[in-house]
Amino acid sequence: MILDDTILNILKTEEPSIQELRNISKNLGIKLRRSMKKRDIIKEIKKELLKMEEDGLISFETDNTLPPSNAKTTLPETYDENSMILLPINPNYMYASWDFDEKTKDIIENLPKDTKTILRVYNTEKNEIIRNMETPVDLNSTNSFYFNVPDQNTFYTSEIGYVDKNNDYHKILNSEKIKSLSSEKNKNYKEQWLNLKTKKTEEKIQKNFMNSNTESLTGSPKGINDNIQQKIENNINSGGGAFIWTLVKNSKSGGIK
Amino acid sequence: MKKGNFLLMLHAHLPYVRHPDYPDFLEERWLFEAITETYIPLIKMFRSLENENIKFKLAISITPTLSEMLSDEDLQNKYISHMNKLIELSEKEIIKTEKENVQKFKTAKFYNSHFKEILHIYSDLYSRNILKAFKEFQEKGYIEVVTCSGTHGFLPFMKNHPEAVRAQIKVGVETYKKNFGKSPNGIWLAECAYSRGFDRILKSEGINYFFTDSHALWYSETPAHYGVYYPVITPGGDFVFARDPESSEQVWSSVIGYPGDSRYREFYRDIGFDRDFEYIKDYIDKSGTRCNTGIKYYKITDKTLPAERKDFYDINEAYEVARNHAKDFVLKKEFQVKKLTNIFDDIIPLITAPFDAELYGHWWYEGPVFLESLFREIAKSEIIESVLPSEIINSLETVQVLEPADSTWGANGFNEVWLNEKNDWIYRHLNHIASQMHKKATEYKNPSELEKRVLNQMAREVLLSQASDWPFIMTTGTTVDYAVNRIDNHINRFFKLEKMLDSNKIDTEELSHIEWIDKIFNDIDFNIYS
Repeated sequence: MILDDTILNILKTEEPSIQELRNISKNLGIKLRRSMKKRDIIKEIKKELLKMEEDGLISFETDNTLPPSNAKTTLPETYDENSMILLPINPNYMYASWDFDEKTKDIIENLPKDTKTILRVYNTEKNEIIRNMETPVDLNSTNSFYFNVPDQNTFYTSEIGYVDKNNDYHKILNSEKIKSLSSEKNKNYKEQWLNLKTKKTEEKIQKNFMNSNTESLTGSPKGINDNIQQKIENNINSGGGAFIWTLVKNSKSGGIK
Repeated sequence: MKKGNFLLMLHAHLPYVRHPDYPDFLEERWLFEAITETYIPLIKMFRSLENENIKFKLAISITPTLSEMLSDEDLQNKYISHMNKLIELSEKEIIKTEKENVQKFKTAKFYNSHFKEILHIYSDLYSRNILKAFKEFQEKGYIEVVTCSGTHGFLPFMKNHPEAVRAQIKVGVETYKKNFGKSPNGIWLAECAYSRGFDRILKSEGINYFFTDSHALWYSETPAHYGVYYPVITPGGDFVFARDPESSEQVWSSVIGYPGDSRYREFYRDIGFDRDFEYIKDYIDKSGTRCNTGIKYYKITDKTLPAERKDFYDINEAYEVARNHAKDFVLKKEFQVKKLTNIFDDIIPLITAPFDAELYGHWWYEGPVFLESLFREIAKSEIIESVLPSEIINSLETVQVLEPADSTWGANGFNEVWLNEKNDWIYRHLNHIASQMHKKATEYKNPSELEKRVLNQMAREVLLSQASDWPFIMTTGTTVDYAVNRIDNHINRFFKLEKMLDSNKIDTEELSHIEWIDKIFNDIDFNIYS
């Protein structure tokens, strides 16, 4: 599942606790007011989930461990190795997926029933943990997760672990550090210029032209909240695979011997 | 000296769709249609402008997978058969349409003579290998051909395997050298996807420049002083040309873009779907699956009209519209240059306009006429001139140093197209085989000749599975089965080969079969993964 079962199940239950809802909100990057009641928080969560679905980041219907439609892969479900991949999607989201070796699978299988397995995400700027976020994940049914990252242009690392009965956290495996993407204009006015003949660089401090009124983002072929599929269907606004899309719209694949 | 420079960059790419085990394969038509509708019309344009002494300059990337297909004998033979069938069909169409409609009859006669001319250029002028034409016009100084990552791999998702990124680049460089007789100066990164640090890998492989989308310079840690209107250099020493959003919108936009004009040819009304099955069956896929033939008689008419209510296409009218659109585009570029010159009085601004090459001709049928007229108009302009990337680089004295922001040219400008719920399952497998390939390449220091063959083929399978086209197709929902099968087949073939190596039982018959099926990059050396 793209969306962790836990979230959907909590939303479906009749009586989710306010703490559970606040945790979900935090992991989705939703800012809540203290005065908000349960139904308001659920409304906010649903709104965010719908937005994520529109962005093509989650689905409420499909299982992301399998290819869609009739296409079936014969590739193995596991490679029996400890690995965790972290990939940036856009400035607001990252994707983590993981696999375990036999030994780790044994450890997970033998955890006491009420053990909470979790996905943690750290903001690790300058090798210091600035912030950590976590969400419960069911490691038996989930091997990947899409999550919101609150800060752009910032290093994150993800980790799978569990909390024992003494409330102590144990790491199982972690990903490499990945920098989140950026859609913000920076205001660093220290420009470096290279003289191509002398090969000397010079620093110039000046207000950047492009941050003044000389160029606006209007007319950019990007709309960060637009639906991807719609964008592609409406005409390939920004390139990328135009040929295949237009040519094969009415085609099936294959050959006859 | 003119006031502004215009750099047109065409990205010509198709995934490797060669199926020697089938006499006909539907996806091979992707290549045939692109040759007929885009690549040869572009060559025709080069020849026509040269004959008339009209100056034109443009950059074009011909991806390694496309190069390998264009120079493959099996596909060359299949293309000849395809064109002979198409000419036969167009002759039948002349007879058929004479009784149907005068406009259709005129268009049918056009197709017949056009297809014959295309085949003549393909067979007689360039001996079935049109790469020779691009080489010729590069040597004459009209065009600059750049390379691309080996199999159009989406490099940002290989970042945790730097050797996999490097292998894609190395293959791109080597394939270019084989076909163009020299090292490439520039590269088009697949999906225009740049990520911090790639510049150093590119530079170490001899690449001097690459292209990015606009926001790579907008969102960089130090913004570009001249925005996208002047090249910058990365800390690793590569020059960067960033896309001008205005030029893209004028062509790509579904609302204001030129290709949507009502008088242009309608893509989705093709006789492959329109004619009686009995009549058309010999000219569509052998399975009976209807497909495009390239013969279309209708114009867009009105985008809101259903397909069956479209008007007949008039090619003379459409070509006239394309010429007028080219005039309009050049006027807009002149106006843009004037505006930019008012802001930047210390440079000659550069407008970089990259497009998928196949937009011109395949999707926008009149696109090559538009381009030819564009260069005719630019040649007359006193304000702008067309340039090559290396000419711009050679003219620079000082350049801003900055690290471009991570970006792509896909919808929304980042990675969503290549990573979403429809395709995310592929990355655990791609990650695994990239890692395994690196291990094997490091482990086998002195392989036997047979082991070397296995390792080289494993490298080919890794590369073929990494094409960005497969997750793209899964996102668009077009030929998803094909894309899934391709990933599946390449990775399973990798496992089969890996098993042979590990068990020390190399099945030479099986190995030869896989080498024949996935015959790409003949000179590959698996050590690119070490």
